[in-house]
Amino acid sequence: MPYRARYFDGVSAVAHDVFVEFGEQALGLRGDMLAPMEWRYRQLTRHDDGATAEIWIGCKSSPAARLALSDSPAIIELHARAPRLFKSHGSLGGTFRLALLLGAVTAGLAGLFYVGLPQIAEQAVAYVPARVEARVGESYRLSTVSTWPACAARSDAQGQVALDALVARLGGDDLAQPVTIDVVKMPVENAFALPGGHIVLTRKLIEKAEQPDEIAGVIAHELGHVIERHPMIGTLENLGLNAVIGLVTGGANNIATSSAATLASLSYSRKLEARADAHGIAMLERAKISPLGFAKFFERLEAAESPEDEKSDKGGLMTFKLPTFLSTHPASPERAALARATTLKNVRSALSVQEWAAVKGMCLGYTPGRPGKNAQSQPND
Amino acid sequence: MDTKTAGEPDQGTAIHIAASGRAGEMWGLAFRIFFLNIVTATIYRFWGTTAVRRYIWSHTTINGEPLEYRGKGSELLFGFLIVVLFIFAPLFGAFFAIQAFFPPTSPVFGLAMLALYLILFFLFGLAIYRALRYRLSRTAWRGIRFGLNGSAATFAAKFLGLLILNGMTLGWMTPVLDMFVMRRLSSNAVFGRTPFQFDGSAGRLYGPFAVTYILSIIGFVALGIVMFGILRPLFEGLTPEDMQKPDFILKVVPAYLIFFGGAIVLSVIVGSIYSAARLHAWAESMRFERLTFTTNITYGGLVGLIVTNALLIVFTLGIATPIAHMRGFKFILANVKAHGTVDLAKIEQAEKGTPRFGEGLADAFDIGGI
Repeated sequence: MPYRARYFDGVSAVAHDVFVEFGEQALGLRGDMLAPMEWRYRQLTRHDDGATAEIWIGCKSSPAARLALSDSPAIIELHARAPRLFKSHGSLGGTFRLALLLGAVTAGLAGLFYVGLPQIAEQAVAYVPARVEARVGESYRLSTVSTWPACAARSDAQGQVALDALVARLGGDDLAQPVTIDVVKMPVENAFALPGGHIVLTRKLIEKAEQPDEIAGVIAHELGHVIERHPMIGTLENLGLNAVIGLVTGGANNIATSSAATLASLSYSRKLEARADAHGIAMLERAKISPLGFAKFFERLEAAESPEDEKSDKGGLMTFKLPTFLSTHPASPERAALARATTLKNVRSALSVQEWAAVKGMCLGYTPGRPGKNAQSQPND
Repeated sequence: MDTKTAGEPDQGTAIHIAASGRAGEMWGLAFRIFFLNIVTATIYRFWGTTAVRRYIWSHTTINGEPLEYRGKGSELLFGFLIVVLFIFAPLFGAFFAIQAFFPPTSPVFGLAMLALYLILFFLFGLAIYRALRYRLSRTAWRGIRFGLNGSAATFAAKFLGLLILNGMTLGWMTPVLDMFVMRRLSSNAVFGRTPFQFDGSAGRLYGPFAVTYILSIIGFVALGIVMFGILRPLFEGLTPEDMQKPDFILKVVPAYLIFFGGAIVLSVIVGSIYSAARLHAWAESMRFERLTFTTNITYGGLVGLIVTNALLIVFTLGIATPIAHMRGFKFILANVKAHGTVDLAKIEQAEKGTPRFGEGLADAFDIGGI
């Protein structure tokens, strides 16, 4: 029995009255102005979202054409012949499968990146020309000292000279490029190396140190990072990560974000830390400075960490914390063992009493030669 | 009345547009999209957008017959990937290379940054045009596709020129710019082969624009004075070290929140004067065949919509964004009325091909809209 329906030929927007007949394999369309047509059930497509009483269908053999059925017996008949068309559009099963697939792809990519990115960065650093690294490092150093002022007053000159000399003594022939060292007024104790051979110590770290050997140990460790180009590796990793996050989430605006602050908060893998340590201890040995100071310094920082942590957490939600040396250099038993295993004879202090006093006085406006003003300064040995 | 050729019946059909989407159904969709976006690190968004559009389109009827949305999530995904790989990756690489080789003080660096901004604004214009072209090409009624003719690059170039002029005149070219965008987008739009027409000039927008402009200056100066009064006592006698302390931050953050909140409220209240006028200009300047349009959008209605939509999005952490989109769509359709008739027999399918991939650029610039 034929049903009335409206047909749209996909050529003009005019409606044609047609009769629809349901056959075994296909539905037949007949109309006054129309050559008879057969639409196979297998090729039918649905084009309404159930928003109106009419059912709108199409056929893959003439993709632009549409048939609107409003007769309920006709719709019931169609339902019986092609039940597939009446499954809800965003069926839970289909959505679930798509989600599972996309979720797996996402997790896979994330895993690949988590493992692969550091490796890629380690390899890629060989292709970064020294000139480029120098530029990057320069801009990082600039942004560091413009955020946290460096101790560069006239009264700091002697301390600076002492630190520069210490760097030269530790580095010896290992350093391919000149290395700078800055003491900055960052409100946490930390030390980090920037690309291009720039070491940054915070005043707070110097405050925490009781002996020059401790600072020498920290500098030797950071020099180890410099020799291995770890800061550049870290920068590449950071860049890659930002690019990937930007790519996946579509944030084109944050693609070019990387700063000295993120570098300071970057922690290297255990493997890179161990390499920096190995260099550091070798340098200390060669310079005849006891590595014990380095090991002790870590232990003291760690002992002081826990109560201070609780105190600074009182700010609640609004506390912004800068990374500390310990948070980026988690204490490792290997490091302590390595430092203690080296038994050096004829050790010399890293700095003379005057030099140490000058370093301790940096950024305080303290002039060496008038000791006693700095109560924290202690004699060595 | 036209004189008619003998035997040709009057095929004019009156047009009534209605939107029937239900918030309850959209909430279900919104929650599903939100959940799937989390699971897939937002990659599902392409399919989510498609599902939302399909729902809104199919619940929009012309004379009781639904619009059809034919877009696919995969088209949007591929469009996005193409844009990232062939536009943003090279741009980003060039940007980084310049940063690495030239210090920020060198003239090369400055010129490169200028070029980068010009390119980005050009791409923004391109994105507007191409996104609309994609959406219209995936929209059909009675089996006949909509479309957008014309060159996206030409549009983007003129758009960029007007943007620069607008900056140089401190924003006073805004009505010209807006009218240009509306005219280009409307008069290049087609249903089948029949073009829409747009007949409007920027002149009518200058009155409301001046009101908005002057009121926003007054409002922002007032807001600035209030903020200065609140903030000055907080900063007095503090060293940079004090400013890093949590209790200082706890006091300053609410003050800034008040300022930004005030700025947003101000721009909605004042900006809607101009926005309402622009919507009127758009509807009343557009024609299609023998159809003209009027709108009874009011300032109060528009402010109400923006405020409720903003609250909806903020308090659901963005989950309700599709509901907000649907409300915006329904608001426009409920307030725009078509007058006159269309000769449907004259409307024929366009032969022209349609773009293969989706609106990657628009996604990157976050101007996706619905």
